[in-house]
Amino acid sequence: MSLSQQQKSEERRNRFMKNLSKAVSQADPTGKRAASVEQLETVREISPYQPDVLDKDACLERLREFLKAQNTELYDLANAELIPQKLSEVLATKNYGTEIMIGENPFIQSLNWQLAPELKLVSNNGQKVSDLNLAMTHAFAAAAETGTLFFTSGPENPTPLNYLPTCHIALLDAQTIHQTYEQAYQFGEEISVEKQGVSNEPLFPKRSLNLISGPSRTADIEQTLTLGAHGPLELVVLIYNV
Amino acid sequence: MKNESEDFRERVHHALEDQNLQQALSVIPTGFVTKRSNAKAALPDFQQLSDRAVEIKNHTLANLDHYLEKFETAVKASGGQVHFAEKPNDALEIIDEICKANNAKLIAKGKSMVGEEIDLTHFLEREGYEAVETDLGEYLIQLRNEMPSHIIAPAVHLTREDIRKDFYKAHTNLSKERDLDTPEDFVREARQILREKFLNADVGITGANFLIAETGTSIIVTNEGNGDLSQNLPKTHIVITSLEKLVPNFEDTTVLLRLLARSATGQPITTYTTFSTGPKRAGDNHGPEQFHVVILDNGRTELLGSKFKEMLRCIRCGACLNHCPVYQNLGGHAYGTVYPGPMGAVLSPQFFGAHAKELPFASSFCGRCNEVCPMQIPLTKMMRHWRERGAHDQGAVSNIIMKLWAGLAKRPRLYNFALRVSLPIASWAGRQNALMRYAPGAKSWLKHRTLPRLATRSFQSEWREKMSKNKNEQQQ
Ligand code: SF4
Repeated sequence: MSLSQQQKSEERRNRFMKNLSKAVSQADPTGKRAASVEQLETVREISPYQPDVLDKDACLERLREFLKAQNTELYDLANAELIPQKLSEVLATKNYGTEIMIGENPFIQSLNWQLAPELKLVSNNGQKVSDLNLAMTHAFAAAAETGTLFFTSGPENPTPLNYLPTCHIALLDAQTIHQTYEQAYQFGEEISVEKQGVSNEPLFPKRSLNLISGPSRTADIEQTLTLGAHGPLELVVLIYNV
Repeated sequence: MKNESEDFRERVHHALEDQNLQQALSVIPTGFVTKRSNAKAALPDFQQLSDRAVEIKNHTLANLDHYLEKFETAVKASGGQVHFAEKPNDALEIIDEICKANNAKLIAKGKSMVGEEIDLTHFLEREGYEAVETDLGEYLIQLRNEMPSHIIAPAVHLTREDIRKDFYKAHTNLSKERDLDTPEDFVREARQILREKFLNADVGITGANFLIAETGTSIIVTNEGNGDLSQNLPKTHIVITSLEKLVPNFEDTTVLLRLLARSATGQPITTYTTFSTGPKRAGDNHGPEQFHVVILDNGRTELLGSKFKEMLRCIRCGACLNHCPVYQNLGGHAYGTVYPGPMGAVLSPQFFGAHAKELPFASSFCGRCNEVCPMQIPLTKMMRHWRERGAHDQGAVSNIIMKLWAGLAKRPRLYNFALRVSLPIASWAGRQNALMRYAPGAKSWLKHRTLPRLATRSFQSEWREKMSKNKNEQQQ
């Protein structure tokens, strides 16, 4: 930005803020103008949303119910070791080939892929791809309330891999299924603080937090639901540690 | 967007005559309306959430300067920049500067109503950029050079026939023999065409449904994933938005999210809900290098202290459009502004001034909009405020009529005389429907309606007769 541009943008900002502050003090729309900034920061007038509490099984059940209703294919696995074989079975029924793109993901790489010798994992470390049949990423949590998977950006699970493939494979640890969005978010905060100790990861939320609740869709053609608009046509979720 | 509200009456007339449009609109009651009602019924806490949502927005609006500064600080801390635009032209200039600084040629644009408000895409095209709408509905209307006819379903006025013609005309590099019949055919073709745009775009522009003050996060909700591709692949991400989108923190956002999709499309949540906080971090190998948020005012701060302040709670769900009998019959284009329906009838006169002054009259005051609005905005009350203002401003004719009437009403004898003379004439004329067509302004009104019969006598004279009859009966 040139100096004059910078000046102009400063002026714009100051005028904007001045107008706004004036309008806010004059308006006081609901008589709720806080007496001070401290009051705003310390007193939360608004109590958090508290639905009836569901237990673990009920959460899993609800997650399944909603994801299915949102056109998602789901598989339960007792543990992570079963992922390669299950994936091999599932992909044998589809026409997407056997090459799966992943990020620099130590968890996925540590699985025993010898058990699915025909599958080939391809690492993505920043390249843009146009045609992509299969990609796999790991959700860090899920919110049962609407069948919603939580992903976060980073080299382990590059965000574009959630949106570019025709078929998106998502891994989810059943132990990370929470009831509400707030709980899933809080869980994300907790694990990123833990991780920060070792790897100097940026704090939560990272650049991108992606809530995904099914494959891509549109109703723009005569209000008819059609899958695979710009993002994946299919979403396959493997839930392990069930 | 070109504002065409001035010949509102004419457009209403055309909309009602347009068979194609009427066919396209017929899906709204069965689609959006039914789905919303089911989604609401499936969430027992809907009303409580709505009450909380109102509190959250009122609280934020009452302290908007504080939250805006907080948002700015947080965006900066995450490596992004916030730009302030008082007027549409400021926003356009800022966006142009960012694009120029990035040597941008191709721009991928996600759906944004603020973008429509400032007519961003046309501006970018005029400035020589290739700007491509990536939301399928927006893409369809870009091909036709039309404005959106609905705030969440911009191409709801189009039939498959319309789209087929446009695709054959626009996508000339594809075989002329190809089939374009099923919705899948159209969606696959658009996917193929737009995929290349995402990958080659220099700048991605999206809107924002909410802005979180605490973390400096902007949020979009989509079903297609176009917004995500638009903002993840290009080197620069620009968010074009407005200041009333602010909420204090994540916990507040989720309350609004629970209401938004259910009220809009009847989904429990849209397929994609994306929270963006700043540009690419150290160690990231994907994502934009620059993150800009352009915040538009365009008359919103004026609303804060006005009778229209509650309108700033609007989350643009579109429920008021879907349930409005006027919208259901006319579609969005008849309103002539990018914000149609009841919410548009309140917002457009503020944003677009005189051009949209007739819109508050486009209501039957049935009140469905008030009932379905998740943010409990008293839409009909605010349309009335505009009407009152309009009556003040209009001066001339309506003022003279009001004064005449007031003069008569204050003089009972004169009033009665006037009624006795005029009623039989009006009543006779009313029975001659054909004749009434020649009355000024009556032609278009009568085309789709019949006149109620006027009484031949006034209420007062009937009342007098009734009273004297009663008296007689009592005396007998
Ligand atoms: S006014 Fe209410 S119903 Fe209409 S779009 Fe805004 S929030 Fe939705």
